[in-house]
Amino acid sequence: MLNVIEKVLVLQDLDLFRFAYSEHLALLASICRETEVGNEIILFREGEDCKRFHLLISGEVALETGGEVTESVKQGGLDTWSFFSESPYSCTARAVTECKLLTVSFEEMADLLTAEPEFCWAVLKYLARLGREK
Amino acid sequence: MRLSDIQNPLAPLFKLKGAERRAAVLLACYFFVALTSVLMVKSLQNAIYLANRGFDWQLPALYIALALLSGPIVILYRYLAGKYSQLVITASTLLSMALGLAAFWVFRERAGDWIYSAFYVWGAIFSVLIPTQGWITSYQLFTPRTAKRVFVVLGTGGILGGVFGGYYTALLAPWLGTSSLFIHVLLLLALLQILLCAVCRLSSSVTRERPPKVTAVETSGERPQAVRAAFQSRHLQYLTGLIILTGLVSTIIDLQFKWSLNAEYRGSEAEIAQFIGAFLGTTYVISAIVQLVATSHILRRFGLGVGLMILPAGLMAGSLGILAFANFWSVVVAKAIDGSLRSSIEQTSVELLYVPVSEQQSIPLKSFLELVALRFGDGLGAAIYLLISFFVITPIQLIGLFVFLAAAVWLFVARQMGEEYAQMLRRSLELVGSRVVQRALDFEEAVAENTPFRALKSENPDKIHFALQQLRVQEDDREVDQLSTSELSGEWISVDVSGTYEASSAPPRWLAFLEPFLDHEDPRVASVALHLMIHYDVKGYRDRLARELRSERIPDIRLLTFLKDYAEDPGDLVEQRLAIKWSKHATPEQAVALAPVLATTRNPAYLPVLRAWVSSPSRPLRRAAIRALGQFTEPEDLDLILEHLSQNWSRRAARKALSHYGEPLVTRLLALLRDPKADIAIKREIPHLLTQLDTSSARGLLVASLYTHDAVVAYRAVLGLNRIRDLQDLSYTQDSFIPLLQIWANEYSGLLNIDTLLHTQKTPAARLLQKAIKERLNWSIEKIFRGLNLFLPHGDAYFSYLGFTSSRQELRENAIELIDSRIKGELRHTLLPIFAELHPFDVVRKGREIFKLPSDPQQALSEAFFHGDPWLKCCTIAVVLEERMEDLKSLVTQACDDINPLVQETARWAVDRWGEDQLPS
Repeated sequence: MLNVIEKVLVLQDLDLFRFAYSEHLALLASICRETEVGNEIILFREGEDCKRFHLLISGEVALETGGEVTESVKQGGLDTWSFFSESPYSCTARAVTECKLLTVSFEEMADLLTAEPEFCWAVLKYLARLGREK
Repeated sequence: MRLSDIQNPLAPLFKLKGAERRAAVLLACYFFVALTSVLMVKSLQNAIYLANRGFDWQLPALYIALALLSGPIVILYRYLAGKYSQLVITASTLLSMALGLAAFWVFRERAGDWIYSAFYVWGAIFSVLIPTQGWITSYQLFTPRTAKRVFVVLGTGGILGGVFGGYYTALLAPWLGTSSLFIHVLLLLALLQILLCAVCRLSSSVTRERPPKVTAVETSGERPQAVRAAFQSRHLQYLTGLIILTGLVSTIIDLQFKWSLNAEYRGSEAEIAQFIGAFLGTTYVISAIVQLVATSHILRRFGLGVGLMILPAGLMAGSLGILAFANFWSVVVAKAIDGSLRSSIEQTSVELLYVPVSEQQSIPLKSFLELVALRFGDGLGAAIYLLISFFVITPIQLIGLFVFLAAAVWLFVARQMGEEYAQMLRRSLELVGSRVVQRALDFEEAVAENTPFRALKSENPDKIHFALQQLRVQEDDREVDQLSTSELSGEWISVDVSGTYEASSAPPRWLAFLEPFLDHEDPRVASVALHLMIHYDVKGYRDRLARELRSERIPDIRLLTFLKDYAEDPGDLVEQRLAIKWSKHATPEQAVALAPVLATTRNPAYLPVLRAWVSSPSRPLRRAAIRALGQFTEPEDLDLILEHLSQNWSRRAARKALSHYGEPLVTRLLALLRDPKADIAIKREIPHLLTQLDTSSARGLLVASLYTHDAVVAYRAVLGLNRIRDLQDLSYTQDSFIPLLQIWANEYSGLLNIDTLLHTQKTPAARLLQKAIKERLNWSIEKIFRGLNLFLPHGDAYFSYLGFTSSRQELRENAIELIDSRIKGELRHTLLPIFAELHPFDVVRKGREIFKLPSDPQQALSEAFFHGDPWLKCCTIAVVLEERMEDLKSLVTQACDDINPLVQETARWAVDRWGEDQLPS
């Protein structure tokens, strides 16, 4: 199992947290749960309630919409937009290889973002830039 | 004085690079040649006039004539400045001076006595215009910070030129006669032209290397009006006053000197030229010594204000000598003080005052000040001298007294000028801040334009709520009246005269639209709609209110929200027996709405209910209960509420609850701050709480919090103090914060030291430590500026911070210059290296000198273990593990027993992993 500093060492490389302070990553790491899944395991299905945020730290996950693979993710957040918009999952996530993930519940993430406005701002900044690029 | 002070004038040259350095060298040569020619011309001018005309009333009259002549010259200069380039103006000036000199040389023997007066006037103009060409070129080339260093070099070039020119004249005049000096001056003018051409060719490279100047004097796009600017800008008003006083005092001393000279060496052209040459040469030697040893040191240590005060103070001393002795040599000494200090520290200081002025304004402004203001001062001084000598045959002592008084006024103006210079720099930085504020105001105005009625049609409950609130505010927004339970017994409610519940005005037409909102699913919308309905239809809605509040069933959430937000005293409306009954059967959602209603009653009977709700599984209810408990301010609940500061989900509720406790909270917070075992998350909330409290003991504890090791606590404490200072007029002295700012400067340098030692490493732990250090560096800089904000004049530190962190070099330099002019003594010594050095390696080098920082990476990392910042320790432990630094392993082992749990965990992890090959990725 990864400890806080090990999780932070991984989280620092995720684009989503590019603008976040390192100590915010430590706060996030302290509420993240570590999960390991084998290949072909379904992490979540399209249309299900989005209650947890999944951060892929190793392995590969295929995102499928309507049965077709739309994206292959090797690192980072899975279906980030659905999580932050409190919408159901917009795709199905299936592990292509053995994967290691960090997950955090919506409630805990919301509490953290509320308690640490600078962290919220950093995530917002990244999402805004992502939105502009798309 | 140390040896390094003597070496100072040349040191700035080595800090310049490329085109800037070449330009500085060329300009220094220009000033050398310029002042050589000026000294020769001055000797010629005075020797020829005094030998052929003697000293009478006509000489002072010439000064007045010069003052009158300067107007047309300035008009011509302004015309030329707008039409032609600097190079063309300079070339024309030098050529016309050369032609004038040649004409005098040729016609001197053939023309009448008037030619000596004409030559005297020409010489006076020559002495001003020639150095001015060089200064104007300098303003355009250099930024304020560079100018402060480089102008000393340029001034030194001028002084050496003055020394050479004076002694050369003293040598030549008795040997070859005064006529030979004409040829020398003509040759020097040709050399000046060559030098200026070379500088102008370099100037495009220099200005290309830096962004355009930002100044506080804005230009409208038309040619700036120098005279108007001089009277509109406070900085320039003071500068004009200073120049006038300079001319006045200097002229009076000069005229007295010439009077004394004429009395001593009657009729001898060569002797007068020799004495003047030697005298001026000697004053320039003294100038050179002052410039070499003192000018740079005084300006850097004491600032521009003190630099401007040196000459008037010296003249006051010289005039006392005249008063005391009233002889030739006392006048010579006063003139020597004037000559030696004017061309050294005074000249350099005054030229710095022009630097914040825009490029377009500097030519016409300087020509106006030098040729009009200065000549006006000269003319005024000459008129005063004439007046005095009209009444007194030997006016030496009276002149001495007048000089003393005038110098005293000059001293006062110089002091004010120092302050105005800082204000000028600040105004140039305010341009950045004001744009940010303006954007915020525009947004607010845009929001205000969104009329309520459009928003009522929205499906978004937030918009509807906003619209209803706007309607409420637009109506007579008086406090909700008290409704007592006795009045709810069935009789019509008699209301107090505030009238909110008097249906005294006819209901507005839009009221009918509000009825549907009474049942809106969002309780906020329903409650404000109910409030508005009650305002206009008291009878109907009041009955409904009364029925609901007398029921055994808990009222609707919408009604509870109405009671919380709009009822001034819900305790009078709600029966205790019923409230307790409701609380037992309430769902978590209902209890969330009921909790604040119970809180506003302050009825201690509700405390057990609220305390029980703090343990509820529902987080929203726990938050509501915490906020409600806070309003009771019971000491026994304090620790319970404080505990909730450590959790993300309950932190805001706990903060809100604690805000009611007031002064008694400070003692508890002090204990927490001192307790090394206290939860760091709670400690980090202490500055927020103290800022909210804003009592004098809270402020005292905030100041104490500045010294804590935890970077977040210290940062939040200085943030809090800044906020308080914005609202109140707190006055702290610089001295009380010197130790703290030195600690932060040390911290900054130490962090930068580690960063520069690690900057090539790209491993995960090294990158994490670098990231953490960069964050701390930004905080440190902000903390330092916020610390300065506690005692500097309001806004100086803020605008300096904006300028310092700007990407624009000019703003950064203005910011540093402003801070440099404000801070004194030891603080300047420790802070300026952080601000002034451009490259981090230079900051680190200075930091190693001042704070004795190590240059070995492992030693630098070991300091992080003693830093006290727990997160930095964790990151450092990760690096030590990653690099397997055996020398630091013992520190990691010690950290296993650290008070901070995260440091403990990280250290134990590191010790466990030490034997493995690499960190898991």
